[in-house]
Amino acid sequence: MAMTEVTIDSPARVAWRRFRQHRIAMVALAVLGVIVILCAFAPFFSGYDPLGLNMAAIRQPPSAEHWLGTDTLGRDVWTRTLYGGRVSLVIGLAAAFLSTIIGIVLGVISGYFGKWADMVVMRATDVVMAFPPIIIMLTVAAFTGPGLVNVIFIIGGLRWPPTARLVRGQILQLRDQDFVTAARTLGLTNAIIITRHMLPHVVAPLVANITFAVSLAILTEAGLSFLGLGVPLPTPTWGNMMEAARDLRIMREEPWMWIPPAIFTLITVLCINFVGDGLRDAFDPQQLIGEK
Amino acid sequence: MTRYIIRRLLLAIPVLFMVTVLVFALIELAPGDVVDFFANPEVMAGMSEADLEALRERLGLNDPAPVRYLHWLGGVLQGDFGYSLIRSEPVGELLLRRFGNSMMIMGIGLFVAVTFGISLGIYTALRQYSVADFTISFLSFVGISMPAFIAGIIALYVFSVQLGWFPAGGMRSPGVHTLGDLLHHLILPALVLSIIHMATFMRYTRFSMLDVLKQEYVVTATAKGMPRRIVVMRHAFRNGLIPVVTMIGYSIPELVVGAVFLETIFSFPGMGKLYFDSVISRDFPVIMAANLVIAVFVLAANLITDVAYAAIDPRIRLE
Repeated sequence: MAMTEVTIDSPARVAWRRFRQHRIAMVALAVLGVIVILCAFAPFFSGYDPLGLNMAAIRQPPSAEHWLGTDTLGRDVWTRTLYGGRVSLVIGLAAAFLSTIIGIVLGVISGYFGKWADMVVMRATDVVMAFPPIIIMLTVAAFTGPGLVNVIFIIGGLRWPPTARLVRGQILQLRDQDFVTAARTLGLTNAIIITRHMLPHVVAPLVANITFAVSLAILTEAGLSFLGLGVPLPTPTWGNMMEAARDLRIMREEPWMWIPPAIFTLITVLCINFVGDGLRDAFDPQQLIGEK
Repeated sequence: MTRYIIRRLLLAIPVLFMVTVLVFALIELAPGDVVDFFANPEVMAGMSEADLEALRERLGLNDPAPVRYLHWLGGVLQGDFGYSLIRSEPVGELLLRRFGNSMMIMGIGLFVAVTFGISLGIYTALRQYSVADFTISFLSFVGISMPAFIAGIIALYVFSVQLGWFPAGGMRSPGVHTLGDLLHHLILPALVLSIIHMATFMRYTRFSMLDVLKQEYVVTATAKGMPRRIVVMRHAFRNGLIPVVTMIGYSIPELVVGAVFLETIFSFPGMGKLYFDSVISRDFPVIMAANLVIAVFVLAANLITDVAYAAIDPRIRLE
């Protein structure tokens, strides 16, 4: 008996197929994979301790022994770049996760419940957005003191307004659609209507937004740490390694101390943005319709 | 139109009010107060705890927070931002001078970004999928992924330290007061500041122009036998520019952020460097005033943008 196999493509599979056609995004994803592996498995790619001082070998230019040289305390720069990447990537992911969660919750409250809740949330986003992102973070960071957890909370706690606006817009569009009205007529609770019926529709536009949030968070951490208000030494991050360049002598004479983290940051952010761009195209519903 | 502007202004009032509350509350979170700040052995040797307490009372630091907030707000409304704790100068004057310096960098940066961004956007839109289009579009992606501070240290290293084309920082050479010298100091940080915005404007212009060029009235104009140049510049460009105008207004916050980093890297005496120095030294009155001025600057830019957008695009309904 011949059986016809019927396959129905899930939206995620369609998106993945479309993403694969985006050549630059695929290359970016591969490069990103390499960077993540290098950082995550740093001990396999370096024999040095990122915090290990070696006063006998300070400020050494790149050599066979120290691929990217050593810093002012004799620590291996290649090793610190990899371990620093761990911290920077974790902060980027954690802060983006936090800001996305806050953004979704406030966006849903604002869009779904409307009225005064909408008014309050929207004015709050106006107020937070009146302060250029890093500006207000500098003040907060100076007062809360430097620290990894503080940086995550500062970035996550102040980067949510764009996400909240995006989610609110989506929810507003969905709120009056028939399937939502039907769900309500059936007597489903708000919690179920929101989580089961509405939020799945928000995922697609949110995916690209989340990727960009990660790259923004990585840059913000780097910026804060570069100014000495992010993650304090000796813990390496790409940002606080680049802080070395604020010393004109190091910038001029010992560029190997700050160029590697700068390049890693740039490549990582560029790749994340390319992947985000690919995801945005892949999830674009208008193009999905066009394909069928 | 007038009603729309009035409505927008009224909406801005509660936001502005909350901004002042937030600016004040942030400083409240900080440990210590002005007296603690000065009460270090060098500045106030020989002051007893009772003296300090008397000083607090006299300065009104023992009042409850809302009272102090209203006191501060009252001063701000009269243009009195207090005195800098470190620079012994009225904050208002200090800010005004530094803001002027920053405007030079931001002004040049924005001008360069707008001119080149829009030109490149049109250029690539007219040559979609050509090698030039791919190259410039790729570079623009690098540009928008390039934060001001990394671009800043790389530019400083390459153009000032290695090539020696530009001074390594400051605003004027000591004792020199010529426009040429000032521009020589301004040009590198301003160009670096323009990168990310140039890339943004280029992408928006390209996108918008591609959209407009497909419109039927553009086809009609071409069909009537108009020269390509007229079709592009008179018919397509004007409408294509509309979304770009909003991007210029909304790029102000990023411009301020860039200024903070670049002024710090190039030791340029602008508001950004003042802000950073004040944060590091906890110069509360300056931090509060700078936060407030920047927020008002951003709100004003947003307001002007929205009004301009409505003014140039008659399709927008001003319910």
